[in-house]
Amino acid sequence: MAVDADGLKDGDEAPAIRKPNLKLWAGLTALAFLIHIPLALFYAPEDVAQGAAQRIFYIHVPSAWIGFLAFGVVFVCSIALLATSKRKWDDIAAASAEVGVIFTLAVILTGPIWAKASWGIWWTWDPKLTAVFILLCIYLSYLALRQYVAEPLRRARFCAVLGIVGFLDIPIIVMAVSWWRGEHPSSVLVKGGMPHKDLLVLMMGNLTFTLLYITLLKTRIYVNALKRAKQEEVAG
Amino acid sequence: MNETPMTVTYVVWGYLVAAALYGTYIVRLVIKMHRLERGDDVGPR
Repeated sequence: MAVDADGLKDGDEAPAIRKPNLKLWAGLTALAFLIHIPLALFYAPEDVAQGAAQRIFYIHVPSAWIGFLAFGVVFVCSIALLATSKRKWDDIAAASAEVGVIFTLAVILTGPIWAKASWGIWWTWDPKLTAVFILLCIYLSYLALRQYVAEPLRRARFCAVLGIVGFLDIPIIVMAVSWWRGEHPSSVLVKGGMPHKDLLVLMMGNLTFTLLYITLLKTRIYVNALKRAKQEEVAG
Repeated sequence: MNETPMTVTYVVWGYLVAAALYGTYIVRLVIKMHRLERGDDVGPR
């Protein structure tokens, strides 16, 4: 197993930068969006209580779930990094954290627009909303930590610990409404019993945003590999 | 709540804001990738 000068293990062979098939992934993602957006805006039935405002649900909830998936990937890769010190786990965790922050930002931005239409207010410090805000802060801290620790092995280990601890906020978000009530509706995972058409559009949304996540993750990992190669070349 | 033009406006804004966020991130990432492939950008870590 090759151990680089920075302390992280590269695997049995020198790492070669392979460009992922981004055109294929981007094409699949674009196709999924072309199906999902009309379904969400025109096919999904109008909610009796909320009217058209409920259609924000079909981008808000998949963004939240895929944000959780991204931080789940950070969690698993962080454990693997601490166990093996292999660079690939740190690379995947770093890329997934950044992409997860974008998905969580989408949740934080679309949520208040839906809230204003449904509740008449942009934001309230409801337990679930507060827990999501804390999640965003944790992973912004994770990205900041990556910039401030210079030594690669220490950076990878510190971030792995934060990635593991930060993930503990996700079960709190999912269960927040059951534990503390508040303004936010229950998670559909907890509540269950969605009408068939709504569920179909939601599942299409989850598939679409999963494809977007995979495309962004692959691109980010590739960009990070190119950047490291360039920095090593400059450093001599 | 009944469907009103105002409610529809919120839906449009919701989708536009999400598109702007994801779109901006994608464009920045693609520009960075092309610069690195050309070899003219190192950038921060």
